[in-house]
Amino acid sequence: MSTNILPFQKKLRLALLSFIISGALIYASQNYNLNEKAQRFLVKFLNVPQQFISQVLTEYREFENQKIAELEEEILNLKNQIYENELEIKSLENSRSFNDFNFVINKNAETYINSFDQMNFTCCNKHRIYINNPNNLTDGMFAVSQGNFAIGKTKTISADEMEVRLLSDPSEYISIKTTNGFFCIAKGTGKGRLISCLNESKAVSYSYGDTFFTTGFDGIYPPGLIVGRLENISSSQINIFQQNLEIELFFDPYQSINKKVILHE
Amino acid sequence: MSEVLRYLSLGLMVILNQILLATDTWAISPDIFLVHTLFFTTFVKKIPNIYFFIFKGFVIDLFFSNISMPYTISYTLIGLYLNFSNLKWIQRSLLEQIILITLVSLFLNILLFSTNDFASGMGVRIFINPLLNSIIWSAIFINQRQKWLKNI
Repeated sequence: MSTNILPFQKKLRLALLSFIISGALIYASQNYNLNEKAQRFLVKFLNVPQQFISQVLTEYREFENQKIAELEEEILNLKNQIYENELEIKSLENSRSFNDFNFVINKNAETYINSFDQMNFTCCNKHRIYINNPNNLTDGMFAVSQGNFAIGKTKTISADEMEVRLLSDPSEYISIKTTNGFFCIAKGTGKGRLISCLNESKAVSYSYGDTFFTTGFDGIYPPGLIVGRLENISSSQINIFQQNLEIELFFDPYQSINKKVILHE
Repeated sequence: MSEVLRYLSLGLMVILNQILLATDTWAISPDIFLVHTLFFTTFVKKIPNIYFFIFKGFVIDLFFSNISMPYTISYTLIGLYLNFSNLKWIQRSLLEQIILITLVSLFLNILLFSTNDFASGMGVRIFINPLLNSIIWSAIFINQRQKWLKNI
């Protein structure tokens, strides 16, 4: 950057001339309405690239959303796979294969879970899932299991679907036992994935982590289905011989959608 | 080449300013035309003549003002100051430079405020803009000081 030292007269002349030019420009722009015209031109000039950019952005956003949807679907599939694998591991831990039944399974008895009533599950002690009606059954009561894991039993049957009351529903009862020979009738607690039963005799020992199976005594559930694991033991304050056992169910309704289940007559 | 660059960059600044206005960030951003002028009076060896400053102010006013006055007058004054000054702009003390930038920004924004009905945020801009312009100049000054001292 350089500066020239100008004589005072030239400075004065230049300053005057500058103000005259500025004034003339201001006057001309006012007179011919140049500002409005220029602004309109600028908006029009930038309109094309603006539209192009917004279109590119929209397409990019759509592409991203599609990618996200694909990834979410992939995650969901992997979660389902993990859940099924975990169930299989639990089956093997209990010395049986996931699909190794000690009773005959009718091929037509296989169906899929189509929905889960999450709202009533969390708020209103009503634990339900809905499964497809595979053979257009109209009446009867069926026990439902996922592989070797007990889920619940059917309540109402319509032309295309069956309502299944989960074991954790407060109105649901099931006869269960441990491998040590401890038997009890468990009742749904209304809390997610929990059932409870009372022990009054303490004749047979049990401990945390014991797995419970169906006895088949109730005539609804076939014997040997895996129900859950003993999670909590609490003693009654009124009756010192009485203990309340809380059993956590293996079946998770949140991961149940589109899973294969079996109907047991 | 520098002349072409000067006019081309002015056109780019016009587009950038329009984007700032469209995205509602104009009120809280520095005056890019003043920053542009500071850059060109700092990094280009020969200072442009007074007529370029008048033209520049007039062009900015045409696109961004209802009346061609705020930038035209401000830039006429800036041009006169830079052309008449016996000292180079970069030879002045930082305090002096910041005071000048603040005064010019304040003057320009008051003129803009009184002649235009820009969207909300104009009141905020009067206070924020001089500060932002000064900060940007301080950053340039601190970065380039060593180089200038060698060249003076």
